[in-house]
Amino acid sequence: MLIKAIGIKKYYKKVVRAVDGIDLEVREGEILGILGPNGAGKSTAISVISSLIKPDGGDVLFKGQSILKNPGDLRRVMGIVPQDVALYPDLSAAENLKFFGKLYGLRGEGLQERIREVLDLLGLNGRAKDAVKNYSGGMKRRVNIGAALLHHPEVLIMDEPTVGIDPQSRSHILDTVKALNKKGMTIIYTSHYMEEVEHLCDRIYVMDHGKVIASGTKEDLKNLMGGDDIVSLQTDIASEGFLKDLRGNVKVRNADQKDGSITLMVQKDCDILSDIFEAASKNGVKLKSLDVKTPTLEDVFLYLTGRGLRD
Amino acid sequence: MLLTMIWKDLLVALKDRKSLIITLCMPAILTTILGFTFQSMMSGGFSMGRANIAVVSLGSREQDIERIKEFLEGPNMEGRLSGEQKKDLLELLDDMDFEKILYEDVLGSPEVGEFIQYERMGLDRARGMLEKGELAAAVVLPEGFTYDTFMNLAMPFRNPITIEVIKHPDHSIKGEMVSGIVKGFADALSAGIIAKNVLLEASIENNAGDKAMEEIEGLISGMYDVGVRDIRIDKVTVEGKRAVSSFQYYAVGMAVMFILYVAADGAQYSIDEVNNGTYRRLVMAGTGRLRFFAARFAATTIFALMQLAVLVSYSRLAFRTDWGSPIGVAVLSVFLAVAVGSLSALLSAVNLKLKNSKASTVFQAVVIQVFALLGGSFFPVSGVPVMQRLGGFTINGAAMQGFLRLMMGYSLSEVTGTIISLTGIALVLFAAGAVFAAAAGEV
Repeated sequence: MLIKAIGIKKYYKKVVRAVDGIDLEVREGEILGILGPNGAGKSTAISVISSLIKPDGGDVLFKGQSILKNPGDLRRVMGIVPQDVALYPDLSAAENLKFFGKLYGLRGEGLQERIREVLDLLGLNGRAKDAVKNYSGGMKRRVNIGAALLHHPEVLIMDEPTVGIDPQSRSHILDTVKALNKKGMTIIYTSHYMEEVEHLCDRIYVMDHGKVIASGTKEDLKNLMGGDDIVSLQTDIASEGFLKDLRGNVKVRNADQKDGSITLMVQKDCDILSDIFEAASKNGVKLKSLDVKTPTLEDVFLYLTGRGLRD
Repeated sequence: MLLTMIWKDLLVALKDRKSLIITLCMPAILTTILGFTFQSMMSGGFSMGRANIAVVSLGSREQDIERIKEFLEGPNMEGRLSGEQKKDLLELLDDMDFEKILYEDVLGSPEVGEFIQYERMGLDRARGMLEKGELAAAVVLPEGFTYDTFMNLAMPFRNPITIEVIKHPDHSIKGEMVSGIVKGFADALSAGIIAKNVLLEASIENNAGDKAMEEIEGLISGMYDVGVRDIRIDKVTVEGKRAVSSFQYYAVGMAVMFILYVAADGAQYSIDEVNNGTYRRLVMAGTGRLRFFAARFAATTIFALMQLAVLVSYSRLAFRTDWGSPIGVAVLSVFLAVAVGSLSALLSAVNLKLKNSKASTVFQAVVIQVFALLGGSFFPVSGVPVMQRLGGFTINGAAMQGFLRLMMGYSLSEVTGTIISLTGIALVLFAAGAVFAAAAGEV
């Protein structure tokens, strides 16, 4: 076990329980996702895990040693990509990288070489001498990642690294994360974008209100929903009879109606479509659309909390 | 690592255009504008308020009266004046106490008293007080003043009399005022002697010299405020110190005011680093809080020195401003910059403690203006003792006094007081900064 968080707690003003006793394990070489809506406590949790803030309770072990007593060992081998763009906006990308590289003891040609490598990796070599403040949001985020990579960290913590950027930059960043992991880097990735976490992560912790409400692989989490499929219907009218018939079907585990939309949880791979059409015909309901899908992490979160990730 | 941090802080400051405009362009522009605006008012610095002056009499009235008696009884006057006339002249001496006239009727008059407060004292004490800047001027009545005045007024002689007005260069306008008043006194006396000379010369031409001598007593007794044509006012400054021009004054005033913005900007950069997350990167890279503040202090100190170098060079090139002893200016600049660095460290610590930029913002928006006012950046405060005293406790005020003294021609050793003040201020700021930094908690 590379990192182990044991019952960590962090309260603000003794009232707000930002992190409320979470246990978490990070295995060497994996991409660990921490998924949750804004305000779930993800950033606070990784601030504690990275030794930047002290917990009000619990401990974090790095290779078996408490980082509360000795944060230096962890800090030397950890890179952190903060949620905000933590760079000096008036300095160029190259100057920012040079500064952070020097802080980690890189010097001379070794430093210059490493800066070139990082800029290449992030696709920024062409504008390395421009002031960061003149970059697009996506470019800033890429330099933000670059500043954490200079010293070849064993562990990289990325806190919502794709917030507010264009799809192209997001795709580039996700590819970069994959590439870094392929080279052996352990990555802790927090996001409220379930599709990113789903795409990248081997294991996932789902957080809400400062607590871990579920954890495991994607499949583990989806199995929490009983391995059901999701059927979404759009109808022209909200019909009580139609809903009643659907709920009475043995293949349907759950049915919810909101305005003209009905969401059904049904047994995996069962033939439900003919039953739906029959019930619609019987109740005089016209189906405007019908979608059958396997559940996503968004559905899992909805199932666990009754709220969407972006609510 | 500390050098890397300092390098980064300097780079950030040098790339901040807004900061460069405020710290370099603004003082240069204001120095130019104010220098030209107050050029005529400050042909030697101006001042305001009541002037403290000393009046020093080097002679003795009693001895002079004895000399006059000896003269009247001596061979020169034998047969020229009757015993009665001599007696009248000696009686007249009691009414012709010109020192008393100067003290009571001139300097002690309600009109002059509004501007000048005088004290009679010995020359050594007067010089000492002048050196300390406690007096605006000293009026020195020469030895034999009563004797020579009497001889010039009552006899056909013309003994030169020099009334010396020693001015302090810090109080040049007050000094001019004193010179003007003493000159008025001398002119009045001169008017009397001119009248006497005209009477005597006209009488001699008409072979009535003896008769004229008999009338002199009447002439003198008819005028109280008479004088001696050969009275001359000598205006000198203490130890030959130079007066300060408007360009010199405002070059210093603006430099020491705008150097405070460097401290505030430094503190702003510190809280920016916390807010944008770069501070956390620094912590992750092993930069402790002590190193963070040390770098802020050092970078601000260096930047302040660079700012001073630019402004001094600008004023020298643009206005040929003489800053005085180069070594003195360099040493004083270092101490000023160190104090500014300490201030920046304190403001940074307060910002971090408050977790916002209120401390540096309020300092920039309000405190700098107040400090500049007290320190004399806008106008000389030497005439407002309370402001001057308070200003001495500010970085800019203390530095301003030091730089102005160097401009007047004082040596480095004579601005030791300023250096001690700046060192004291820096130490206090350091200590306060350490307290706030320790109290800042997690950031």
